Amino acid sequence: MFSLLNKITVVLMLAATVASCSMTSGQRSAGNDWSKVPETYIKALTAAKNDNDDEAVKYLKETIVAVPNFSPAYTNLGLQELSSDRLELAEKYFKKSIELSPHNPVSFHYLGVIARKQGEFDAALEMYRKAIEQEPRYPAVYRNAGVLLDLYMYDFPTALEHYERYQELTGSKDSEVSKWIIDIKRRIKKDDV
Amino acid sequence: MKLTKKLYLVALMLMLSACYGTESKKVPTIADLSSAPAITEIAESVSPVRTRAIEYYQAYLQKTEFRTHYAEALRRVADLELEISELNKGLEEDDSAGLEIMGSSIEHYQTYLRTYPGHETNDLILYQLAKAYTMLGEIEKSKLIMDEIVRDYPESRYMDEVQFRRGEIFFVDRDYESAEKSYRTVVEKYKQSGLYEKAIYKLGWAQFKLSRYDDSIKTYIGLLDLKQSENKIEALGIAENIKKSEKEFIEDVLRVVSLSLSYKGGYQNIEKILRGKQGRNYEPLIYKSLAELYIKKERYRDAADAFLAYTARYPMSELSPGFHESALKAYIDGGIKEKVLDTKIQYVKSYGVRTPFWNAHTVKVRANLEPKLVKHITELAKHFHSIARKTTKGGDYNIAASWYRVFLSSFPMHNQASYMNFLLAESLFDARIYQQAVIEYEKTAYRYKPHNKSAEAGYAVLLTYNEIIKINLSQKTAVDVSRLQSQLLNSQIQFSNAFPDDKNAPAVITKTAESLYAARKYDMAIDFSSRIIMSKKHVDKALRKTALIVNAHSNFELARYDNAEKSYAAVIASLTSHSKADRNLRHELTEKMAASVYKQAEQFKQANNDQLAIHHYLRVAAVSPLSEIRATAEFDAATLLMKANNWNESIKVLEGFRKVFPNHKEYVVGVRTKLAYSYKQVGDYNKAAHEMLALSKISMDRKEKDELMWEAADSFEKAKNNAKAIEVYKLYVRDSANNFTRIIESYEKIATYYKLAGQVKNENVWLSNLIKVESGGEKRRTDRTKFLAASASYKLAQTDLKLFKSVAMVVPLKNSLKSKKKRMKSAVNALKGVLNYKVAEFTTAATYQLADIYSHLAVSLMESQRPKGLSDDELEQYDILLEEQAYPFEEKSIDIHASNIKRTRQGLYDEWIEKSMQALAEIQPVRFAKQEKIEPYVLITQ
Repeated sequence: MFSLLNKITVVLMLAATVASCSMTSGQRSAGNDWSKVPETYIKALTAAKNDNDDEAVKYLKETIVAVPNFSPAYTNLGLQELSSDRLELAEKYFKKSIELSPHNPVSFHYLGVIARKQGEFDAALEMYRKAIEQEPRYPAVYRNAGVLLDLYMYDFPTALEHYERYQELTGSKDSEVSKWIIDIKRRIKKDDV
Repeated sequence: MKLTKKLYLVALMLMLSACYGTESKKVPTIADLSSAPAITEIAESVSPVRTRAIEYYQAYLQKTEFRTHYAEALRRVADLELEISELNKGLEEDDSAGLEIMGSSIEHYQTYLRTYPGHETNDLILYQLAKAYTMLGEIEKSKLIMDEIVRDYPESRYMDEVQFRRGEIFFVDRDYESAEKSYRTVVEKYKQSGLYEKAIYKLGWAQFKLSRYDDSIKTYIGLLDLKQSENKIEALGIAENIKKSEKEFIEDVLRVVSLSLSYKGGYQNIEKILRGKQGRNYEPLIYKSLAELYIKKERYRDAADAFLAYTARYPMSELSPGFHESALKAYIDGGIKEKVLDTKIQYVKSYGVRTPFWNAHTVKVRANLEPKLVKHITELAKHFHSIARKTTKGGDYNIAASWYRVFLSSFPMHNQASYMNFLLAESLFDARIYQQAVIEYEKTAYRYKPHNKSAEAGYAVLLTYNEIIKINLSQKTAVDVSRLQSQLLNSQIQFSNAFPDDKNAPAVITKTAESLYAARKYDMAIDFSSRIIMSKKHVDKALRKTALIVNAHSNFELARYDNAEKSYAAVIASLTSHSKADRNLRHELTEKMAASVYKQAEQFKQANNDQLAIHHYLRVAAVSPLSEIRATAEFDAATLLMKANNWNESIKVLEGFRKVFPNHKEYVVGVRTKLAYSYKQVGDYNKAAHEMLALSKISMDRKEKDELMWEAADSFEKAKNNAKAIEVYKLYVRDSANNFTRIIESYEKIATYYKLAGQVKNENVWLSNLIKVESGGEKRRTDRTKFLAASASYKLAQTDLKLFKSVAMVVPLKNSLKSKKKRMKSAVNALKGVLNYKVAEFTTAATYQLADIYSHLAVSLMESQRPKGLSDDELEQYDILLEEQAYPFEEKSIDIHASNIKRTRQGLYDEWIEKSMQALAEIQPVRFAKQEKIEPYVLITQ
C-alpha cells in the first residue's frame, strides 16, 4: 500500500511525465487533491503512463467497483475505450463521469470527438463548446474543434481561430498545426470553400 | 160391565164429584166420549175414621129414641157411603162390598125422601141419589130423578149441574136436540157456572151433531172470544202459560170449528163467519186448524189452500211465513209437485230480504225467517241449475244464476254464500257467459274465508280464462287477447300463492312459471319454477322437467348463467334417451347449457378475469363436445390465452380445435391466423409461415393475400428455410399487385439468396430485373425502392469495376489502354447510374469508387509495363509522358474525392467519405491528414 507521501511522489512524477507529453494535464493537475483518490486509480494512471492499457483498464474498473461515484475513473476509462475505437462504450463512460461530476471539460471534449467520428458534427461542436466553456484554457479542445470546423464543416475562418488559440495556449510548439494554419489561410484567401 | 155403562158412570162420577168440590183430574172431551176408553182411577184407601163414622151413624139411626137428628144422620150416612163408594171405585161386579155400600147409600137417600117428602132441600138429596144411581149404572133412574129436580126445583142451586148432566145423558143417547136444550140452559142461564164453558163446548157439539154447522161454528166462535178475552189466545196463537188441559180444550174447540168449516165450504167461509171479527187472535188458528184437519184427511191441496188463504189475507202477518211454509209442506207431503216450486218462489218473493214483509219486521222475525229463505233459495237455484243442465239453454242457466244472485244479495255473509257463489259461477260457465263466470269464480276463490270450494273456484278461473282466450282466438274477435292472457297470468299467480297445497297447484305453478317466462318476467318465472323444483312433495316428472327448463331459460335471460347451467344440467339428467322428443330436447338443452357455460366465460372476460374466462371457455367442450358454441368458446379461449402471452396453451387449444373442427367455415381462417401468430411467438417460424401461406391461398382479398404471402416468406426466412422463402418471394413477385416496394424487396431478397448460394448469374439476373421493374414503377417508386435499385445498381457496378481493374496495363499499352478505357467507361457509366438514384449511401460509395477509377487508371498508367529496349533517356521520357498522361486522371480523382468529402456540409458522413478523406490525406497530407488528438489519460481527481 502506498503511503500518502509515496502517493504524492508518484503523482508528481506522473504530472511531470504527462506535462511533457500532454498540453493539458499540467494545468488541470494543479487543482487536484490526490490525497483522497483510491489507490487503484493511481495504479491505473501509472499503468496508462507505461502504455499498459489492459492493466490501466483493470485498475480503473476496480476503482469504480470500490468507489462507484468516482468520476475521474470513468473519464479515464472512456479515454481507454476511445483509444481502442470502442466509441459506444467510451461514450457511456464519459456520460457517466459527467453525471457524477458535471464540471467535466475532459469528458465533454471527448464526447465531441466521438460525435465527430459518428458524423454528428453539430453535436460534436456543441460538446467542444461546453468543454471550452468549462475550461477555456484547454488546448486540445481547440485543436480538435479546429479539425472539425476545417475538414467536416468547411468553416475555415473559425477553424483558423481555433488552431491559432491552440497554438497560443501551447506556445506555438506544434509545427504540424503551424502548416495547417498556413494552408487554411491560403484557402481562405482563395475563397476555397 | 158394558162399555156404555162405564162411560155413563165415569161421566157422572166426574160431574158429581165436581159438585163437592173434588177436583177433576181431567176434563172429558168429545174425543174421550167417542173413542177413548174409560179411565178408572185408582181408589184411595177409605179412611178408617170415615168407616167408623158410618158405623157410628148407623148405630145412631138404629136408636130410635134419638129422633131429633135423625134426618141429618140419615143424609150424612148416605153421603158418607156414597163418598166411600166413589173413593173405592168398587164398582166392579165382583165388588160386592162396594155395591153393598152404594145400595145402602141409595136406601138411606130414599128413606130420607120418604121420611121427609117435600122438604125444601130435597133437591140436594135427589141430586145425590141421581148420582148414586149413576154410579150403580142405573142411568135411566138417575135421569128420572134429575127430571124431577128440573120439574120440582127449577131454582135449585144444582140446576146448572143437573142440566149439564142431563145434556150429557141426552148426548150419549144421541138425543142431540134435548142435549142442546140442556146445554143451552146452562149456557144461557148459568154464565157463572163452572160448567159454563163446558156447556158451550157441548152445545156446539150437539149443534154439530145436528148438522147445524153454522150454529156450531157461531157457538165456538163465542167460546174462542171468551178465551181471547181471558188472554188465553194471543196474537201468535194459544198462550204458552196456560194449563195443558186448557190448551187442549182450545185446540179441541178449533178442531170442531175446522170440522164444521170442512162441511161448510172450507176456508172460503172463514171470512164470512168472522165478518166483523177480523183480526181476532184466533183467526189464524182457525185457518191453521182447518188446514191441519185437511192434512189428516190427506186433503193436502185444500190444506195448502187454507194456509195460503190466510197468507193472502194477511201477507204482513208474522204468522204468514210459517203458514206459507206449512202450505209448502202440504204440497210436498201430498205429492203435489207442480205447486211446490211456485210456492217456494212465492215464499221468497213474499218474505225475502228487502221485501215489504222483511222491511216491516224485527230482527228476530228476520232471523227466524233466514234459515227457510236460505233453504228455499238454495233449492230453487239448484233446481233451476239442474234443469238448465238438462236443457243446456242459456236462458235456463240465467234463471239459475238469478237465484244464486238472490241468495248472495240476501245473505252475503252466510256460511253457504261461498258455495252459492261457486254454483253461480258454475251456472254462468255452463251458460257460456264466461266473463261473468270469471268474476264469480274469482269472488268465490278469494273474497271469502277459505272454504272447500276455494281452490276449485280458483282453478276454475284459470280454465274459464283459457276458454275465453280460446274462443277469441278461434273467432278472431277484436278482443285484446294479450290483455286476457295477462289477466290469466295474474290469476295463475294468485292461485299459486293462495293454494300451494291444492292438487292442481303444481300444474298451475308450473304453467305460471311458463307464462311468466313468456311474458319476460324472468325473476318471477324463477320464483315460481323454483317452487316446483324445491318442493319436497311428490311432483309429477313432466312438471318438474318443465319447471327446470323455465328456471334455466329465465336464469339465462337474466344473465345468471351459473344458475342456468345447474338447471339445464338437472333437466338433462332427467331425460331418457328412449323417446325422440327427449333426444331432441336433450340436444336443444345441451346447446343452451353450453351457451350458459360460454356466457359465464364472457362475464369473467368482461370483468377482466381472463383466467376464469379461459377456464369456462374450455369447459364448454366437456358440456357439449360437438356444439357449435364449443368452436366459438375455444376460439375465444385461444384469444385470451394469446392475450396472456400463453402461447403454448393457445397453440394446444387451436390445434385441438382444428382436429375437432377440421373444416369449420367460420373459424378456419381465424384459427390459422392465431396459430400463425402463436407459432411466431414461440419462435416456430416455419409452422407460422406454413399457416400464413395457407391463409394467403384461402383469402379472397388481394391485398390480404399479398400481406400473408409476404409474412409467410418473411417467416420462412426467419426459420432459415431460405429455399421456401425464395419460393414464396417469387410467388409474391409473380402474383402480388399492391405493394410495389415489397415487390422490389422480393427481387432484392431473391438476388441476395442467389448471391449467398454463389449463383452470381442468377443474382445479376434478379438485380437487373429489379432495376428494370423499379425504373418502370413511376409513381409507385419510393425511397426504399430507389434505395434497393441503387443498391442493385451499385452491386452490378462492382462487376464492371472489377473487370476494369482486372485489365493489366501491358505492352502494347495502346491495346491495354483501349481495353482499360472501355471497361472504365462501363464502370463509370454503371457508377453514374448509381449516382442517378441520389441515394446517399450509394452516392458516397459510388463517388469514392468513381474517384478510385481515375486514381487506379493514373496509377495503372504509371505502373504499366514499359516497352522493352528503351534507353535510360527514352525510359525517362516515357515516364514523363506517362506522368503527363496520368496527371489529369489523378486530378480528376482528387476532385471527385473532394466533392465526396464536401458532402459533410450536408451532414453526410460515412465510411466512403472517410475513405475519400484518407485518399486525399495521402495525396494532400497538409490539407487532409488531420487527426484529432486523443490523450491516453488525464490526471484529474474530480
